[in-house]
Amino acid sequence: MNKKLKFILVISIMLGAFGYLMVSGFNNSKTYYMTINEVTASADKGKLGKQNLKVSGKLVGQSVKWDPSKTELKFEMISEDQSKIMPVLYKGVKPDNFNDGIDVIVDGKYTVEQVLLADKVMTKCPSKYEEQK
Amino acid sequence: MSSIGTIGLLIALGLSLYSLVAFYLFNSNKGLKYLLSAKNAVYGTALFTTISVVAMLYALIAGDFSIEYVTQYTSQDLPIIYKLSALWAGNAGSLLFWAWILVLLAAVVTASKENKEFIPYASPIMMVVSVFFLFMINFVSQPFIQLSNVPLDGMGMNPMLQNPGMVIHPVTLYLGYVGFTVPFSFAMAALIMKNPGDQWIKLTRKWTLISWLFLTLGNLFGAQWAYVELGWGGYWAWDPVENASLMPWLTASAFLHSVMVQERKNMLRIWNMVLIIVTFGLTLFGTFLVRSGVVASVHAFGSSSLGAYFLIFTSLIILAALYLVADRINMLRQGNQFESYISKESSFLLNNLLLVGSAFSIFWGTVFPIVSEAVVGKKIAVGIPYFNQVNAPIGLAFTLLMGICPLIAWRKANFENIAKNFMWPWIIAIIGLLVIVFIGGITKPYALIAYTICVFVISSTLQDILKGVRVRKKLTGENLLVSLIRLLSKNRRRYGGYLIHMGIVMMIIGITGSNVFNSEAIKTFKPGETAVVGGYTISFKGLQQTTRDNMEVVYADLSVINNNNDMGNLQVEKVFYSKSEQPMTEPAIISTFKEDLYVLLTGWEENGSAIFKIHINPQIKWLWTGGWVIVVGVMFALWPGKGSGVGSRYIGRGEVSYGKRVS
Repeated sequence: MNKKLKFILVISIMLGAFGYLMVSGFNNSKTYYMTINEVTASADKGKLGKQNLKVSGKLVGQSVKWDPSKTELKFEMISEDQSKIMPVLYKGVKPDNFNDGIDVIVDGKYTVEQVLLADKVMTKCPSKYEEQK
Repeated sequence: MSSIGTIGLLIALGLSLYSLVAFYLFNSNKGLKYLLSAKNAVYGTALFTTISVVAMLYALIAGDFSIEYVTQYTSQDLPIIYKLSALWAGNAGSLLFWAWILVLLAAVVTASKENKEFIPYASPIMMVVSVFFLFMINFVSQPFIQLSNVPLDGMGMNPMLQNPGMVIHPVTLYLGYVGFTVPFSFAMAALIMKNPGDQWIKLTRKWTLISWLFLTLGNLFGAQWAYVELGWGGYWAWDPVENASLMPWLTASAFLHSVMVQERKNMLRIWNMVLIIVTFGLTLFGTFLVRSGVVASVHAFGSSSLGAYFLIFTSLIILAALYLVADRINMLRQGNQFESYISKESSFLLNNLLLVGSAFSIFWGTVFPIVSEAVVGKKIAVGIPYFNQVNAPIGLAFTLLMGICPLIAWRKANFENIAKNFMWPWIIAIIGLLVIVFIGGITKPYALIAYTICVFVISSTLQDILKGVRVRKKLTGENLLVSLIRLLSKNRRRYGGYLIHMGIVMMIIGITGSNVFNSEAIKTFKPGETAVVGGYTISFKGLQQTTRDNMEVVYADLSVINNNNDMGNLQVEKVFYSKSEQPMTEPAIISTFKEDLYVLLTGWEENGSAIFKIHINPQIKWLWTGGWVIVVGVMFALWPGKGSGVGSRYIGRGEVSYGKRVS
């Protein structure tokens, strides 16, 4: 019985450490998935604070301003229903397939200036060209 | 071509269904002729699926744009190698490709002589999976749909996919995924046959190991591809799709280790069953994630209705498998118990807990958005820090175990022995630590811990080999070299495993270096300007433009000098494909074991100056090289002939003796 007890002890210590890692890591990097409409709605109510956000939308092609000398990318995303526009500021390199209408996923925080300050800008890699509709 | 393909797939589906019926009839004692008939149906399924695949490949190469799939993924000016790889560029084609590998595997397994007893049960299980895939490509995601208006040219392949990675990454990954169907089917067969011993493990060891190797390579080739593709977040970004291929790798690695405990000691029977079920389930789950669009990923296929089918099929087959385990649980329980908590088997168990724990944390992080949306109505994701924070310590503990595990005796070890065994490796590791701190000048704690552990694992592995050589030399009187070669070649499973461990250690070194010490700079160069970045003297002559195949290329030749060594020219490019407006930024890389100099052309100005983003990524090469070491290790362990077999079963002595296997 004693042996079994030791086993259980060792395993529960491991599980405890493991659980701690998971919970603390989770709290540090919790990110809310939101649509553009949800972000603006919660921002209006002042509920957004300093949360990490993951916002997806479609790129507005003519809004893209890319300054390579400062590596600064400014662009706007538009919501699926085309009702809300969100400006994004990203200190990083412009992704390659940055075309009008492409799906963009932005990680970052929403600032008081109503700009999404991006840590990361990802473009969806479509396996095929979408058919024009 | 389209009709040949369609009809081929329909016949293949019919034959696969028939094989299930025939296997069933044979298993209900209706006569041997049904077994033969069922086997023939399996071969027929493979044949007709092959015909369809050949038809598709022919259509892709010939540019038969009457087929929608061909139009969507290729164009006339696409290089032939990418025309071929368009087979797995889209949903329908990649399912066809998957089904094809699966039915070929099923045919090989069915034809194999050594599996005779298991065939009537294992083969139909593979066919059940095949039926699902064939059903999907026959009715849900059809590759041979025809267009009523045949276009003159296709839409071409996404430039991001026109990379050598596209040729090799999906193939290796799919081979890995599909390969696990074999051990899964044999495990289920063992349960159905009420033969819960280790026979199914022995029969499928090669399949498991080769599938694991392909999964390893698939992940690495994917990482290598993402490394050179801007916007994919580096070689590893904990993207859901990347996670989807890492999870089965982790559980499969756990499985590879825990089956050794069952073979040697007849323990962990239930655990092994569960592990192979989970691994198989995760290979299908990965496909569900990639195809369904339920999680946001940069690598996913376009969202489609495929996800629901995959989810239902995966759930059903996993539930059925778990039901079988539960039903036979008493039979599985009749194994041995642990005798001591310091023993090889318990260190294997620890290794398993770490690997499965890591897989679980990744699973949780990956599906959390789905769970949170269902439970609280808000989609909450976890970021990269979560995955790093959980998995870095697990990874280090796991690496440490690789150094400890081989040196602990089976059944029962004691602290005195362990202290004696580990004295030298620890001394060397501490010397290594001092060297790293005082000569290497590294002070970051994570890196110090990681490197020290790596030195320890290498030295403890070498010590173990040395010990083996000494014992062998004493017993046989051979000279050092001969006894080393004979020792290694006569215990290839063991030492192949060690080599794989060394490959993993190299990968850990690469992951540590590239994460802890990476740096980047952005620099504008005027034509003719020379600047020093990160120790490299880089000269920029000017931008040039050229036409190559179907694309316009803007490029810069940079000459690079490091420590008075001419490192040659770096050609950094932006490529404009004719079929798309988007440019592709192609990095140029000078790779050494010390570090990668990784340069991107991010833009240019009117006056001819160009802006470069320059990354210094230390030790990345270790990661890729480690992968090749693993390939060699697996081949060494598996190469047919003497010495690749299972080591002797534990026979009750205090330590596994080298002498015994010499004789």
